[in-house]
Amino acid sequence: MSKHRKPPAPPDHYPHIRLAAEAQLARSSGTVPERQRGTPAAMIHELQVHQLELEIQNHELKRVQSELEQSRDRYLDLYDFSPVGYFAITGEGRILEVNLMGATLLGVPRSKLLQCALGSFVAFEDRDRWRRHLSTTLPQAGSSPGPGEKQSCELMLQRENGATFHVCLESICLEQTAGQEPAGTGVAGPVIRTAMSDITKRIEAETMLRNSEARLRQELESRVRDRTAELQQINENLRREIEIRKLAEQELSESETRYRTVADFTYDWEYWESPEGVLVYCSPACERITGYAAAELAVGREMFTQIIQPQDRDNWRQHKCEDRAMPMPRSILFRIHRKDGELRWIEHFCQPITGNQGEFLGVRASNRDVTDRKQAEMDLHQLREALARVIRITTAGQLAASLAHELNQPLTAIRCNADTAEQLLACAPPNIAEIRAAVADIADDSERAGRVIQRLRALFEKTIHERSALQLNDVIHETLDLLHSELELKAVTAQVHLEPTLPKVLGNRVELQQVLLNLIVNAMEAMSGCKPGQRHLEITTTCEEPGEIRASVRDSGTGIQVSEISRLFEPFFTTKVGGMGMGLAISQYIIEAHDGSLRAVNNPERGATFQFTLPIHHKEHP
Amino acid sequence: MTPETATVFVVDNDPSVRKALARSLLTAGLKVKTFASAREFLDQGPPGSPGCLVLDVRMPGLSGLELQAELNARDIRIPIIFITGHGDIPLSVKAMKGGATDFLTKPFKLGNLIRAVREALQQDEFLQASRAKNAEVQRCIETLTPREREVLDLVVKGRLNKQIGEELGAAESTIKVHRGRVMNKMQVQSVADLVRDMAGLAPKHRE
Repeated sequence: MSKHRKPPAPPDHYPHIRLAAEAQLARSSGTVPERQRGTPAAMIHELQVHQLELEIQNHELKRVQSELEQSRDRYLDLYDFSPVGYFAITGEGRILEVNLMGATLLGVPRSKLLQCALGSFVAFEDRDRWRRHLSTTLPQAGSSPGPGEKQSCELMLQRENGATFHVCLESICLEQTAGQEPAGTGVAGPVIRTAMSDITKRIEAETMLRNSEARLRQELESRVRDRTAELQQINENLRREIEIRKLAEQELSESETRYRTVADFTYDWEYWESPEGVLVYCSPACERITGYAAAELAVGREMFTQIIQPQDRDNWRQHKCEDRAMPMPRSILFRIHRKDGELRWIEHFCQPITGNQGEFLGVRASNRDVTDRKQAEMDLHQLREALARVIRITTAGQLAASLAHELNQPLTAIRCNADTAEQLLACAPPNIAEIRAAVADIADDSERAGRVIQRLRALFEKTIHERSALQLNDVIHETLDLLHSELELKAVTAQVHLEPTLPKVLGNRVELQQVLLNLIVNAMEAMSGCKPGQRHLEITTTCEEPGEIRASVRDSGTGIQVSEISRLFEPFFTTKVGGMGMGLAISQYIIEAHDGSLRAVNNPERGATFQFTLPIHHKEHP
Repeated sequence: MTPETATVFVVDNDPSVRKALARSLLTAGLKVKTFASAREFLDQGPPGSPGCLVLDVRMPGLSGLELQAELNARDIRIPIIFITGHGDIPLSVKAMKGGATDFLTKPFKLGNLIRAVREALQQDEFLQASRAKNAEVQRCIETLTPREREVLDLVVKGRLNKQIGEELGAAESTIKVHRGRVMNKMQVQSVADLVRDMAGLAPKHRE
């Protein structure tokens, strides 16, 4: 750097030196300097100062020189013993200068290196790169003067012994002004200063690192691959699982849809009530049947009860009380008021639901609108009733002749007695005793006629729905009274064996009388072909089976053809000329409506027996 | 008319009717005998005295009509007044064909019954008389020879002696002799009397 230092300035330019000289002078002489110019003292002082100044300067220069020498040596050491090889090369690559380290690196004494081409040490495969480095380091045509850009490159060099090593080159082109020799080079043209550092270790380390990195990468990649595969497997499993789950979910959803569809599209009104009385599910048919939307009825149990016909509510409440107690399906029939006020018959089926642990989960119920069926049943019932009445009247018609005869007898007697009494009165004197006897007979016979009329009226009576506790024996006696003259006329002997302690039954007197009438009239007809004296009718009541009574009408007639026995109770089935074929059908209907049963069997000897049972009436269940 | 000697037989299964009928007939001054069934009436044998039968058509056991048939079969001749609760035409026709004198529908006016009973008793008296006459005629017939019987039949048919002779292959004079004997044996004065006597006989006796 010394070449850049400026030459020392004139003394005036160093006022600090003058000040130092003056101070030194003052210390050595102890005099105060003369301030007046031109005076000898002043001049001597001035000279003395100059002398001191020069001495100081000289001393300073010597010190500076020694410092400079020390500095140069330091720099030289720094240069030569730097761990980095320094080269000064020409634009073509010839070595102009090299430090010790540079020579050591190349393995050639410094003296032999000068003027050598640095490129000859570059390994063959890196020569191109070296040339590119040179050319990029050299100033480009047209670029501004001054130091060029620092360029660096890494190269592989080869010593004379063939050993290769790696260096990093950092080069800068110092001068480029043509014709001006760069300081200390002795050549014209650009000089490139290149620092060369051995990076073999680094490269090796790098290579090693790269290798180990490669290994690591390989290892890593292999691990990654393994892990990836593993993950893929897991993924695949997951995917499959998800798929299965999705499928299951889909299936579940489909199944749910299916069940919901089944539930939602049922014609009947289905619901599930929780133990707290909340509707868990209510099918849309609810609205069709009741006119109320499911949500309107979901309010609670009371709302449901509210739409039930008041007369049916007690039954309903009773039914609900048994929800938990009864594990089997149950049904109940009740009426509801639709939202529009219409009355509908509902058949309600329900069953309690229990969980796996047997816990009560509420009630599953199905409500069916059976109004049409109920209406048809009621119509049918009315028709049957009308038919029963027609048959009763028909039977009455059959009996009319005998009843008329029965009525005629007392009337005839009355008429005779009345006329006789009149004649007796006309006599003088009248036979009062005979008159009294005649009048008494008139009274008796009119009473008898009245009884006949009463029985006749019973035959034509319209059935009322009322049922009452009846003694069947009484009904049998009434019926036989009605048939008394018919039996007598047809020469039928009637025997009755009635159980005196027969329990009562709940029934309709007129209907049961009609059954007996039908059975007895049939029996008489079956015996019409028998000889008089062989026409035996036997009527029996027994109470042998628990809970029921049995009544039988036994005849000694022709019996029933085996082929006819199964069709006996069919409507319109008849073996009689002019018969309607409804008598037995209606009788069976009546007995079944009384929860009993009617059947027919042939007797072992001759004739047939018709038998019916009726449940015993228990007072505690009115 | 001998109502005092004649008896009214009442057959009815109904006791109060029976009793009422008996009372009214007695009040009317008639003799009455009652029976509860047809069988009971038959069991007493033929009524010895003249009379009539008041018979209920409809009875258990043997009915009124069956009793009528049975009496006819036994040749017991007695006027019958049927009484019935249900007097339909086929029934009354059948009764009348069987020789019933009247058919009353219950309940009837007592007067109608008494009238019918008196008529029946009158008829029975007449019948009894003609029956006696017929018996006598029958006895006379039985005295005739077969030839005289043949002549009798042809005379009753209105044939002349000449015609009878031709038919029987005998001379008119011979027939004339037979005819004289027949008139004698039959105790008649004229052919008209003979015809009337013969007409009173039942057909089987005429042959």
